Amino acid sequence: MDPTQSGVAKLSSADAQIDSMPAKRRVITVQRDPLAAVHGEAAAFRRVQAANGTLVVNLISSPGAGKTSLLAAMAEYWGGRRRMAVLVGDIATDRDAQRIAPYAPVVQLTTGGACHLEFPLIARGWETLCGQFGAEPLDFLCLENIGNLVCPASHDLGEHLRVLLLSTTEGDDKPAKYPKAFRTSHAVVISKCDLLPYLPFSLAAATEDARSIQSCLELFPVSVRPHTGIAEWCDYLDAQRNKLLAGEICRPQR
Amino acid sequence: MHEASLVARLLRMVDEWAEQSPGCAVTEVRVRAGPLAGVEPLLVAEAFQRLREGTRATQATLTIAAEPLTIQCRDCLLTVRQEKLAFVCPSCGGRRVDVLGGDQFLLEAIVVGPALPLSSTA
Repeated sequence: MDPTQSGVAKLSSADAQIDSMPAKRRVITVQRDPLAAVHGEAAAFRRVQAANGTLVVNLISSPGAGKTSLLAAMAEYWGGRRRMAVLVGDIATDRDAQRIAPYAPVVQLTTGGACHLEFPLIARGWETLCGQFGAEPLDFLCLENIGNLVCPASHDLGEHLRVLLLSTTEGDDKPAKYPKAFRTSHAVVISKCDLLPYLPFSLAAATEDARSIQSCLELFPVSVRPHTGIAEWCDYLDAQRNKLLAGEICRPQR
Repeated sequence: MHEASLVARLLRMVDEWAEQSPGCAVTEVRVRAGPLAGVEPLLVAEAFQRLREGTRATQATLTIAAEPLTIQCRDCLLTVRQEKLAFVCPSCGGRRVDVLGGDQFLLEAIVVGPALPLSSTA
């Protein structure tokens, strides 16, 4: 349609009246999520990774819960038996990438202030990873999110598995305070369990609180000093990847 | 969530849908937000006021409807709207529930109509 036919009056008042006649009040039903396009890209990434046999794991937690330490422990446990790479998000510095680099291919995603990762950052990081380390299929691609239990819960990064780390120093009352993060996750890793004798943290209470939000959550108590529970955790990841290879593609839970 | 970037995307979507009504202005934008959408309505309204300038929704009001959390029990199959953020079946007490609604932020509809005169030509 010719844009000069628009209802904006610019000639005589009679013209303006005629022009304004088609402009009747009308309700246009949309029913769309403004983030649908981004969700679509994330879903496509999830399908491509599944076809390559790569389980994508999104690790979320509050700052300092031990995401980087857990990834280093996993890589150390597997040694060369699993091909694992990491995209690690931080607001500033490449300290986490430096900690992981001795164990696994890693790309640092620096958000410059954003408190969570979004899919476009993952897409760019994945390209960088392939460029630097080659495009050989991985068994596990781990996405270490920014330390934050709020915003990361609202962003699909194209992961198959969402894992929440809860450290014993944070307290066993956290699940109900951050319902979306727990509701959308598949598993909870309780970290720093070596400190349990010194803290008023009840594994039973944390489990009960978490499962009241998401009944099918699996919980894994671990410690990295010394390594405790890491084998069980890695076995769980292997089992999830086997499900993926069998055609069962998971996504963040509703 | 980040209401400003969400509202910026919302306004882009509003502009796209308003294109099918040339000559009209958007007079109302209707959205729905659930308690699990991760969106604070007050901040959405504030961002909308700030960002609508220069879009086809410059003159539009924003209506935010609260979408309730809707769950379905896997054990007794009851579908129910929850007043609180509770993931337990109120009928049988089952905890194996699926979320059917209340976790989304949706552009529900736009209302278009004649643009208000920008200035008097008398």
